[in-house]
Amino acid sequence: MTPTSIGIIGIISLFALLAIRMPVGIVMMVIGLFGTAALNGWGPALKILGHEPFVIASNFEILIIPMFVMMGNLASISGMSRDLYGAAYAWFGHWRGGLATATIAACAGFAALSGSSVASAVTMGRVSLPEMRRYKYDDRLATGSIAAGGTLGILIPPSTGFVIYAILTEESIGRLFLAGVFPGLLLTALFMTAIYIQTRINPNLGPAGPKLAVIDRIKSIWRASAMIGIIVVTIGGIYSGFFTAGEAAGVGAFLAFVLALARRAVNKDTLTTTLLQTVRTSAFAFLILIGAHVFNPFLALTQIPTDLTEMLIGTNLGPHGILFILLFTFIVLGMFLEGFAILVLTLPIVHPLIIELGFDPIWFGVVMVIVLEMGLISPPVGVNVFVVKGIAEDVPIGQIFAGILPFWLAMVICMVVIVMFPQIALFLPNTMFG
Amino acid sequence: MSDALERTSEALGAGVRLMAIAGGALLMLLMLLTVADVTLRKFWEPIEGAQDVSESGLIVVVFLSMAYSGWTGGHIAVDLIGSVVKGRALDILDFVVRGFCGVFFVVVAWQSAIQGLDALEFGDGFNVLPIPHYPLYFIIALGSLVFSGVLLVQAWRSARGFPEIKGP
Repeated sequence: MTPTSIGIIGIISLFALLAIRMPVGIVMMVIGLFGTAALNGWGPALKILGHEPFVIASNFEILIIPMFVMMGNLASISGMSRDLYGAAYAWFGHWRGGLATATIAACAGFAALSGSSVASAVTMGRVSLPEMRRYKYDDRLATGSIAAGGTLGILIPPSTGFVIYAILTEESIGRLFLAGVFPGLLLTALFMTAIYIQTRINPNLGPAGPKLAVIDRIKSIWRASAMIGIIVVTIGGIYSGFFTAGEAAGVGAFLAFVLALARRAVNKDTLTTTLLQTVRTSAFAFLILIGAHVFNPFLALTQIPTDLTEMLIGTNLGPHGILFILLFTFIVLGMFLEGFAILVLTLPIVHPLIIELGFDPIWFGVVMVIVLEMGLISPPVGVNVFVVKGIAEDVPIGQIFAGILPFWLAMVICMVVIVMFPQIALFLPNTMFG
Repeated sequence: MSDALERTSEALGAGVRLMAIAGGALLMLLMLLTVADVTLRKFWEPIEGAQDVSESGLIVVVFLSMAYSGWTGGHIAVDLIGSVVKGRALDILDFVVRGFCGVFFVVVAWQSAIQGLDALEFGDGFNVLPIPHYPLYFIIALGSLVFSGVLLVQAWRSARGFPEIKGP
């Protein structure tokens, strides 16, 4: 049997194991072990299995994941999410659809403290949904804005999606983080535009709230200033070269901890929950990365990435034609697979192809994360949709998906704009110091 | 039978939770180390070997937490078949999958222990500080073994039709 045939059997087995609910990280380890054993014998295969967990878990760069997860969790317990929503509410609440707009703005702000879309959707959903219901917002707009706003968590830095992309492709985490800033702001603006258009067409979807006095609005910004300070220190520190992305994560988590202490939000229960949530999320990310590093040597041995690259380049579709096929494939995969699973399963094949086609891998990382965001709200397995369903139990899942459609289209527009104008993503990383 | 399963579940759940809290506490220490290192580097000189401590500490954090993450359903799986297969059939499928994963992680533990013995024999260690690699391999082996226990107990729970345990 040729290496390519073994590779194809391996990939088919991989999808079969995923389909029967085996955890993604373990599936990759299993296929990597058996595949490498089939190609190179059991000795080297078992050695990889015993060695890679050490290599990945001792990678200083990946310390960034638990640190930023902890920062987001500490931000949650310290009440920063309420302050953020309060500030956004003060400035946008009196607009038509203003509470949904405030939800998007607050999600964007929280995304700058948390690398997780689920965390963003849960945290902001709990704060904003009761308010939107109080003002009789349409359930579709209310739940759609929370689910979509939450996806900003993996685009606006810090982002666990970018960290995993960086580790798998050996790109710079700091450059990827900075590349996500303007696309994140663009997508935030497009989400707000989607709300504006919907409420222009049907004002009953989101009635305007009361208008606050200017002094109250300024006070709301002051209350959120601590959070803004943490964002400036972490992202500004990376941009200025004052510290690396990993160090920024440690400093950001520390500042969030100090703030939580200052607000007397830290007690035995909240600290225990924060630590448990942090290590729980981090361990799952590490298991996926370990799985990817056991699986990737097998995939490289099969020559499938090289063969596929040569085949696609030989089709004469041109770089953008191939890019279109890739993005379309990711969108379809996003309907069935979890975003991180798509990253780890496809990057070993796609990354060499992107380099061969002459695209910037940092820019591609941003495009890929936007596609993953689309997967988070695409039926039938959009994770954020089920998160929102958990908060708004009485809203049928079909209504939530219906509410998401305008935001999904906004993501498509964002992706097209970034494909046409890569500078939007590349400006900051190309001008960063250090 | 179910009493024994409940007792085992409770003991295992409490054990992995304690391990995870210890991992989280160590993570906070690593956070303080990072802040101290950055501050001292900017205004005086960096802490020697801070990166070695962080790297070795990270291994301990990850493998103290792996089992807790698994116990509370933190490791993501793709739930496609759950909409087609339900009830007892799904329990049996979960029993097979988790049982297999449990045995697989015994192999991971075994191989990590072998790597640890090799590291001990060859004296492998970090670059700056004299921290040996072998204890860390043994921690990986221990963490994998506990994770394997979690998966096997979950398989047992599936076989008995017990509900899944959810996280915080």
